[in-house]
Amino acid sequence: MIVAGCDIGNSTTEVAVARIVPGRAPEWLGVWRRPTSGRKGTAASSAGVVMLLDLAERRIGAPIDQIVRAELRPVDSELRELGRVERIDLARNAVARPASDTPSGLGAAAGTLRRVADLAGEPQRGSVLAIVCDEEFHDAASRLVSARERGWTIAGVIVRGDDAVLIGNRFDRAIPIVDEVADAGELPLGAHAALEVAEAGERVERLADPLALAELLELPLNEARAARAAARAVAGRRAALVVRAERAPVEPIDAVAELEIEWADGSRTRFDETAEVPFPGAIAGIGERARLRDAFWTSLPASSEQTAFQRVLVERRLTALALLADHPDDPVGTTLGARSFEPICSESSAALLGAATTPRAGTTPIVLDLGGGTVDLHRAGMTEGRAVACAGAGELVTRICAGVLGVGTEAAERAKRSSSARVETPFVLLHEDGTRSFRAEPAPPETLARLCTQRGETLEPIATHLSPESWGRLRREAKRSVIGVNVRRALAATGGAEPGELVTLVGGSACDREIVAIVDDALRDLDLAVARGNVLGAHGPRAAVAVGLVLAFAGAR
Amino acid sequence: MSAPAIVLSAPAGFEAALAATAAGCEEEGVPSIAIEGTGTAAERAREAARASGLGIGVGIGPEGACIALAAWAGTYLAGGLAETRLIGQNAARIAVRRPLPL
Repeated sequence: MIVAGCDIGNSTTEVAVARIVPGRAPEWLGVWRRPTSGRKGTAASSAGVVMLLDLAERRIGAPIDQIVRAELRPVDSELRELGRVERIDLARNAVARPASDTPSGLGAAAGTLRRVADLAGEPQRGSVLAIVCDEEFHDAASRLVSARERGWTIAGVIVRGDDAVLIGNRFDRAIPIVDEVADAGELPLGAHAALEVAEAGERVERLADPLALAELLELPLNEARAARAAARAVAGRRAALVVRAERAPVEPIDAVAELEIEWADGSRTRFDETAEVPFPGAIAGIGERARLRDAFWTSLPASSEQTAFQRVLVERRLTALALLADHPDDPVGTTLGARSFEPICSESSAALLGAATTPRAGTTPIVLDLGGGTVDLHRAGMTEGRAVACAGAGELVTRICAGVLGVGTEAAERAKRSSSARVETPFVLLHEDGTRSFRAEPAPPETLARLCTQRGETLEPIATHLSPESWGRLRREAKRSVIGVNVRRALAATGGAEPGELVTLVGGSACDREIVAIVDDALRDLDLAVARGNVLGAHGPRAAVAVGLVLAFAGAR
Repeated sequence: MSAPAIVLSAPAGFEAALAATAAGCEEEGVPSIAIEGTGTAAERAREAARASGLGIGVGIGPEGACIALAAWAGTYLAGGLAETRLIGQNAARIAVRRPLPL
């Protein structure tokens, strides 16, 4: 009889198929996997199983007689914004505009906004900041030279295109000129504005100081403090522009997004993201999400070389949250189309059996299934295995990576799994450990001077300014704060372990080349033997539960 | 010794493209110089790269503009004649090791 073991994970669905003849070892016909379609446990997720089973039947050329599965509990991983969220409402009394990092000149300047074309007329008293929009740089520079000769006081220039240096070289190399101000054409003419250019490698000083900014913008005394939002928005930049907005200051709105925890004993407390995550089972609900088996949270790791973007993350108190739902049964039910689809044994027994097919393992007393949604710890018991599922695993790490880098989930997934390097010159790569290597072929132009993921010779840029060293540290910290902490939590919840005991890592996240070291570090004081599973000696840490389900079925007959 | 500058090479009649390329370099704060040169845009770029103290050359011709690196035989980056300002910027960014605007 041909038996298929199905494991529907939060990220991946796996099927292991074997021919089972009583009294003989199973004859393995293959292992297949695909990304889980839809939320785990829903009808959509079973569609993916059907596709895999159809594929398996075509490959082996025979129908599958029996399908066995383990229980299904979905996990939601997300980044949640908490607490006092100061809305960066720049339209208060000063509006900050981003400008490029190739400005011209040096220092801070303030004045009235005027178009270059408007400087053709009679000179007026007071400083002006000239706006260059469509004028070609030779033309813009000669108009500025002429305006100054006729008596205009030009304190600084704002350029829409990327021409600051070209205009500065032909007009005045000393005065601050900012460029790539996308909405230069829409700036309120006649309004008061301030701009600043710092030396290369330095950051704006006066615009980033609320009182100095208020002075430059000539804000009334009672509005000076309200300039802090604009000051904060330009802090960390080499060049910046802030325009005074003629409207009454509004005090910052504090958007409160507090969550409440419902504990298993029925009590309720305010959610505190800095508190230690309790044992699985202690929390029954968070916010609007009730009937939970486990909840896990961690804050996003911060880098020492904080970018403006990262400072915003810290201000937003972004917390990574994973919630494990407790649905005793699921809409997948016991049939898949015309096929019967039976839960046969606990996922624990299956994971233990599957992991034990790793060469040299013998028995596997402790198996850690590092999946997409959960870290599951399975322990061999006297009769039935014991298990604990901790919310928060590979997907939460991906979410954190996406948050830290400010990229989408797909790019974050790639960045999570690969090592990184910065392409220093077309021929030289700088690696995460500070070493450099030489490329015989020049790196593609789009990768130049960027942080890239590395897979063999292939480089793919990641949209971030972080150095390889900082990103590597943040990536490992993200893994440690989710997987490392959860492994520890799972082990503590099931009574610890004796020194020298074997801990076998299985599941999709166990494929990560950094994960063995991260788990070993998390359990260092316990002196355990942490090893990656190699299911059936062929599939690496993948498909342990699917293979174990088939073995359990064969053993029961 | 050759000057630390990006070297540009264009045939007669391509003065505007040459000036735009030089402006692209200037905006990034990297000096550029022009040489006479001969051949196609790619050949001019190679010759210019070898003459450049930075090992970066730009060749211009009717077929467009090319960036060559002294250390490599191929064309590193190419663009149309309408994009010479951008080509100049790209060449300069290679020299200062900043991400290219492409």
